[in-house]
Amino acid sequence: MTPSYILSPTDQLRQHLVATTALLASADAMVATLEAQLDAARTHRASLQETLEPMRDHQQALLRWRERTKRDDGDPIAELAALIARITASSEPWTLDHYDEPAGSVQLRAPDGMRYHLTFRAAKITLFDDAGGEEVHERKDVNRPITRAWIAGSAAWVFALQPARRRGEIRVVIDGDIERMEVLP
Amino acid sequence: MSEYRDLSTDEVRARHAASAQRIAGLEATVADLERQLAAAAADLSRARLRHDHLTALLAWRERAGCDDGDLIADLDALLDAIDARWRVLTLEQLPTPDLEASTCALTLRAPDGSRRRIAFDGLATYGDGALFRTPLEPTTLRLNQAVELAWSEQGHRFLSVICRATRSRPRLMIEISGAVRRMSTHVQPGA
Repeated sequence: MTPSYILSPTDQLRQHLVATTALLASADAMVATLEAQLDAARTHRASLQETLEPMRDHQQALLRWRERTKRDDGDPIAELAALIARITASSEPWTLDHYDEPAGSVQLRAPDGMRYHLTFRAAKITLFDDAGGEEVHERKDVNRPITRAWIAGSAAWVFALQPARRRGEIRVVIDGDIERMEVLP
Repeated sequence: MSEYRDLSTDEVRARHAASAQRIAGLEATVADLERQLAAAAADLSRARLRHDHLTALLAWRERAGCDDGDLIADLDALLDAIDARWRVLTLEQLPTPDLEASTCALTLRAPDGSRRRIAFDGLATYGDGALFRTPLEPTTLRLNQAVELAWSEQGHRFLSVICRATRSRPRLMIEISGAVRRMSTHVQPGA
C-alpha cells in the first residue's frame, strides 16, 4: 500500500471515501440489527403484558379482598372465575333469578337446580342492551337464561342474557369486587 | 383451582411485585434499545452525509481536474447562510441554460451589492412553490425576488431554491438537478 504521506490530497479523499463507505455499511447494519432487536423486545413486552395483566388484575382484586377481610388465605376471585367458566361451558343455560342493586347481590341458578348467591362489594349493577351502549332501565330481565359470562378486568363481571323476542341481548355488568359466594339450600 | 387460595397474603403480594418487576425490566430493555437505535440512526445519518459529500467532492475534483478546494462545502455554507438569514439574498438572474452542454447558472445578490454566480452541471426546472412541480415558464419578470429557502440534496444531487411570494407574484421554485460546477463572487464596483 502506498504510504499516505505521498498521496495527493484528492487521493487522500478517495481513501476517506473508502473508509466512509465501510462506516456507512456498518452503521446501516447496526441500525437494521437494532431495529430487529427493538421489534423483538416490543413483541415480547406485548405478549408478556397480555399474559401478566389478567394475572395481575386477579392478584390486585385478591389483595383488596384479603386486606378488607383480614384473611390470610382463600380466593373468591378464582372461585367466581371458575363459576363463570362453568356457565360459559354449560350446554344447558344457567338463569339469572334475581339481582338486588342496593345489596350488590346476584342470584344465579344452575341447570341442575343449584342456586348461587353472589355478593359484591360497592357494586354498581348496570344493564345494557345488546349493542352494549344503551342502558336499560326496566327491571324485568330476571329469569332469562345466561348465554355467556366473562370477567372484564378484575372488578367487572359480565353476564350476557339470551336475547328475547322483543328485546335484544341484555348484559348485566357488575362493577365491583366479589365479596362472597354462597350455595343456597 | 386457584393457585393463590393457599398462599399467604404476603406471598400473593410478592407475586404481584415480581410480575411488575418483569414488566418493568422489559420496559427498560425497550427504552434502552430505543436510545441505542436513535444513536445508531444519528451515526448512519452522519455517515451518509459524509459519504454524499465526499462522493460529490471527488466527482467535482475529477471534473475540474484540481487537487484542492471543496466547492460542495462552499455551496452548503451558502445554503446555510440563506436559510439562517433568508431575506438577505435576492435572485438576480434566473438559471440561464446552456442546452447543448446541459448546464445552467444563476446569480444571487446580497444587500451589499456583491453577486454570487453559481453554475451547475444540470438544467433547471421551475415550479410554482405552492403547487409543487407545476411547470412554470421562466420569465424575467420574476427577477429580484428574495430567496426564502434553499437546500441541496447531495444524495440525489439537486439544488432547490424557493423565492418568496410577493403581492403581485406567486412563489417561485427552482430545482436544479445536477452537481455544482463553479461558484464565483463578484463585488459590485463602487459598492
